[in-house]
Amino acid sequence: MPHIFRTYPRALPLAAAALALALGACSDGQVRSEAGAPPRPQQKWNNAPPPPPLSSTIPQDVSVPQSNPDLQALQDDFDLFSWQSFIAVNWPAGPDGNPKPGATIGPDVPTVWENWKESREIFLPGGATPPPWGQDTPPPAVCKGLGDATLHLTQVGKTPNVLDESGEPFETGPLIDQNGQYVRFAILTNQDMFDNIVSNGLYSAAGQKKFGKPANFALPPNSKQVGAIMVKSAWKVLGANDVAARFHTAKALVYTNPGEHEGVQAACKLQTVGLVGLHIAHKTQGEPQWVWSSFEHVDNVPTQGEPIDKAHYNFYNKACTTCQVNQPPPRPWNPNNAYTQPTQVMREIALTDSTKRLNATYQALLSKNYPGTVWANYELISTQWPTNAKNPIDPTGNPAPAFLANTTLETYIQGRVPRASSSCMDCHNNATMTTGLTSDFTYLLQRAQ
Amino acid sequence: MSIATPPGGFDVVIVGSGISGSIIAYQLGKAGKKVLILEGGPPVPKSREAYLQTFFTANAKTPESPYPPVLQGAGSAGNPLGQPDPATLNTPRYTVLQIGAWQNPKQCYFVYGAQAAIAATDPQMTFAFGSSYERVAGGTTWHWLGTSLMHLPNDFQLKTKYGQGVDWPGGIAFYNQLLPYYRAASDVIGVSSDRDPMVDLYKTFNVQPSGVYGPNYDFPMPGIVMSLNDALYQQKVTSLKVDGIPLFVTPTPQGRNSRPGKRRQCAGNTNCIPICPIQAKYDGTVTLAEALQTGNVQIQYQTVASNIRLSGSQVSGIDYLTYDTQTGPVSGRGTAVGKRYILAAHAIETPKLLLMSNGNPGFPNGVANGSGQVGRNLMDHVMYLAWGLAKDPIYAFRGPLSTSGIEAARDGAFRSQRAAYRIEIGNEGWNWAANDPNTTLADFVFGQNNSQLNGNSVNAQGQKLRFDPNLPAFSQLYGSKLVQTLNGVYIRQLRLGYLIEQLPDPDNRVTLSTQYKDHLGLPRPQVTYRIREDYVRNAFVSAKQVSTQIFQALGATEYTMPPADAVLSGSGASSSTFRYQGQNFVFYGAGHIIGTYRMGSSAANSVLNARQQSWDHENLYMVGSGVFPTTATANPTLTIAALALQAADNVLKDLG
Amino acid sequence: MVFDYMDYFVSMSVGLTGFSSDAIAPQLDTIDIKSAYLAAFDENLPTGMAEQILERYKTLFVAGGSKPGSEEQIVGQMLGGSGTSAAQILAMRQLIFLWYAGAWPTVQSDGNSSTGGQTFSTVLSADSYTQGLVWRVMQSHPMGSTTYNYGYWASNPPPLSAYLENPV
Repeated sequence: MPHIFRTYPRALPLAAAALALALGACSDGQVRSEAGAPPRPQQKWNNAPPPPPLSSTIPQDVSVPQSNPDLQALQDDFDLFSWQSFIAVNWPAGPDGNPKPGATIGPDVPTVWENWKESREIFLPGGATPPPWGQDTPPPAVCKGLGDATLHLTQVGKTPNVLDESGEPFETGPLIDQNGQYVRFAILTNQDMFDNIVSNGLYSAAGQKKFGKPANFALPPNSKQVGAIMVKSAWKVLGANDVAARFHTAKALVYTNPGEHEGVQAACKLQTVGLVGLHIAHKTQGEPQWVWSSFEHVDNVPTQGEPIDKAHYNFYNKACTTCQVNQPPPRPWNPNNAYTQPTQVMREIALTDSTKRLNATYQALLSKNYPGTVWANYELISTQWPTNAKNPIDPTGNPAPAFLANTTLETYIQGRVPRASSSCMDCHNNATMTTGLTSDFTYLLQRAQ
Repeated sequence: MSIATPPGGFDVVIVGSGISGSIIAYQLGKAGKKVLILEGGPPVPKSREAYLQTFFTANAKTPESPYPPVLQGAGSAGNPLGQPDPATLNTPRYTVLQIGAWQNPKQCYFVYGAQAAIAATDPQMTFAFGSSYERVAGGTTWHWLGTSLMHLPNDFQLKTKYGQGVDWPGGIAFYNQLLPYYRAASDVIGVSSDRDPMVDLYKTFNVQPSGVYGPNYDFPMPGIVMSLNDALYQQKVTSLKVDGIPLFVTPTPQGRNSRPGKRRQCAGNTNCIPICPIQAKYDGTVTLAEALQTGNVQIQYQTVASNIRLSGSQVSGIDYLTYDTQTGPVSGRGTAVGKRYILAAHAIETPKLLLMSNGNPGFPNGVANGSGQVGRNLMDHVMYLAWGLAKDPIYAFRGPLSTSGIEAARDGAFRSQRAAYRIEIGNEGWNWAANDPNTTLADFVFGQNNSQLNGNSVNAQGQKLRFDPNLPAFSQLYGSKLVQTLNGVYIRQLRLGYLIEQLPDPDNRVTLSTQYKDHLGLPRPQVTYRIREDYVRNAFVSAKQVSTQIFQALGATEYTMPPADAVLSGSGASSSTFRYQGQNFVFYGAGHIIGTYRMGSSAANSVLNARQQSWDHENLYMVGSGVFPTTATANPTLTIAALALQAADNVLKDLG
Repeated sequence: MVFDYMDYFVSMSVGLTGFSSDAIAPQLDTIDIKSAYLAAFDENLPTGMAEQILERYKTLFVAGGSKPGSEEQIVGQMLGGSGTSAAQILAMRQLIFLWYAGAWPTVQSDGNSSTGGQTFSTVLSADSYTQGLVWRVMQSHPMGSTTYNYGYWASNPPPLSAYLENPV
């Protein structure tokens, strides 16, 4: 219950104009305004006109049409950017990996981003040079003979500290679905990012040493390129009680990396998996701290303080009264186990009403464009962006919102505690290379051998 | 949770899941041995969020502040800090806040007798012990600094070489045997250090370079970069000598990542104590997780060992009590049985457990106490703090709490007369020394002078300490003048800490309180603690002189505040102040609780043999700094880890 | 038009703290600590005192032409006793402490002691601790929460002016 300043809403005769000018609009205090403050102006997607048409073009940067936007207006702009990006990267891919000409988003087919480079393909044993863009690296030996797959899922958890791109993705624990199976992850980069890594030799420890300075994925000014993009994806193995038609699916080689944890054997299975979480991080011209968009499958989890009204959740059991919420399973952790006690997950920070409205708008748009499409089953959680990108005393650029967690990717650190709870920019700001020099907000580069 | 006894039973039962217990559990688990850990405190939380939240909102940010049970509630008359009554808690522990309340067992977990001395100059004067520990999974490394230095060869032969204290069993041979374990311990902790400064340092102690630290060795990660503060000392102290020994600055080997690895690279949150928010610093939970990952190690949380059972001279089981909530009732009890038993509950709770176990026929003084040495020889590195203000900005409060030290005075001929010390260079301004930034802030906002910066204070050299001579005493500032003044002060703050070795004194001891119990009904530690030897007190005199010389060499102004005369009786009795050679001294705890179940070469005067095995009970081992015969001069954790690795090998040999 | 105390609260706080309004109450305010501080300023004082102080500030500010840059001079008048009581002056100093420490202070003055008394304080929240201006005035970061990277401690920080003008 927010405390309301006792003297606050009170009319006094006052020439406020001069003051407002003098203070430079320092009052965005309408958050406290239950008592009769004017309603916030509606954003454009809350009524007509609709957002831009569905497009396979990834936006280069956020568009800010307002003349003097406040925090919420800018958040809405970035959320729109997130949805546009989500649509574009999930566009059906043609044989060359680019958006398929003449296609539209809707059918459950391999997407553009699934053709990007997996981290496993970039940071090779011995620091070997990765094969060029468009050319695949063979899957791990243990996967040989299992047939073709659209994606190799190689990670089974993520580090709480080195959040989503660590070589040791286990520290706070794996996420176990309702079928007792480990959720799997893969990180991919687009061509602009891959090209930067290759041309600067950052795929190897020796190359990073030679490079000898902080990594920088910024494009030259006025570049027409889209810029560096990383995608981190979370997938569940589809099994009992999963309705495959509700997911974007892939046939994947689900690889268990023995290097991830002591006592775990290498293993590989060809399985049908469903997309449950997707981070898109994009280094745009205007946002040197990157823009961090986070999406989830709508059936993932209920939100604390909101109705638990779905028949089935991917990571929550309504029938369990003794399950502790957001607690990792006990060790030892082994993704090869036939069954592990499922994780009982709830969202700790609710989506804002504005983001919910945008989600509904886009879900309707997608359904209208392609009835029954799986893409209408995804929602934006939020977008983290720098409010003050060039702040000389805050290299994270004062992120908004201050915290952002995806329940499939930051399951166990969803709170609001500075430095400990999930904040994309705060955490990734500490990312460095094997040299110890900063890596421009990506933990991928520390994987170089 | 329930214990799933494996077929064939447990090979080893360990009490405590701190760094020692976790290291041994991991070593044994890796070797396929079945291990059960009894941990008195709660599990390692799913993330650091809750502990960090507690820290951020704590009014007193002491080393214990992030961890349960909570330290402070609403204050009341006679209990201004709102400290909980230890009798209401199932796992109370001693905290820095309790030091001021040492004479009040309603607030202080340790029970102390009344002051027996009638003058502050009396060597028999008793004090509050200065250091604390945690009772949570992962143990006290949650709040360690990360300093990872080795002891020096002469530290192991203090008696032989200087006629002081005792030798470690075997003396120099013990050191040589420990060297490979030091190297292994550096790997466990992931120590960041450059090799060359270590070689340079050890050369001054006539230690021949070897594979452990010499040219054939490198640390797991490169050294942590030094602070601007360090650089000033580095430039200026080389003009000085202490007892003929030239001073120089050495970057400290540290248990925090200088490179990204399994854990994040250190970002300099300046909070190693009480809690690293990003776990860049190693702690016992890292190894505990590895131990549990083996699948051979089980752990029972909120399970407090209460009694050791003997069958003949062998340990046959460890009784325990469980609880569900910190103030709730006992929820269960049982007996843990294994082939070997290892006590790893640190240097207060371990002797307490041994002494509580006094119902076994033939062992009326407790388990492993045939020598009568259990609980005796309680030690710490007693600390002398000195602080000052640099002439030019050195930008304090930035970086890890300490990145360098002056190690040159850790050994030398002087050691026949006075205790050795290492000098830790603080990066955290007057945070420890004067509770800054708050003290200086309050002084300049409200017109007070607790920092000595805003009144008529004068230091021992006769220098006026008012920061801005153009301001009147007790100024109350605001706006830009406040900004300029606070900035000018904070960015110049210097702090030195001397870790002074203490000698084993059999009368410095932990016994069982006959009157006071915790909420489980277990007796609380009764503690007697003195600094009787001139050997130790002489080091305070030296430290004071050296500090003044160092600050002069730096061109800094010294602000070290001498304590007021000690109050000897009553509830406000001074906890840590004594008078020696006409000067008042106050000591601080280093957080190094040492010596209460020491190793030795004879069953007559020690609890453990050189294998860390009980002289009395062949299947009982003990680990942690309680095994140290002397404090030596390095912060103890690296040695604790090395000894735990050595003990694990010994237990493995026993198990065959 | 509703009289917005927040505008005056921020303006007065600019004068008291020596920090710019961009630093303590930025236009895009992701933390919004000012609201917590205004509430604490009100709650911890006798009923009506916070309002009286703000109205006094408003009167002087408007009388002076509502000029940006005049904040410090106006709070100087008020701290000097111009239309303010001793209790109100203490309250304004407590507000300075709150902005700097993120904690509400209790002052025990003792004119007879060499230190002039002592101050105790209660932290409002994790955000108030990390937002404390002490960390910025020392050109650093809160102990336990930095946005800087490995090795920053080996270099000089940005100039003080950057800390006086920007939010964290």
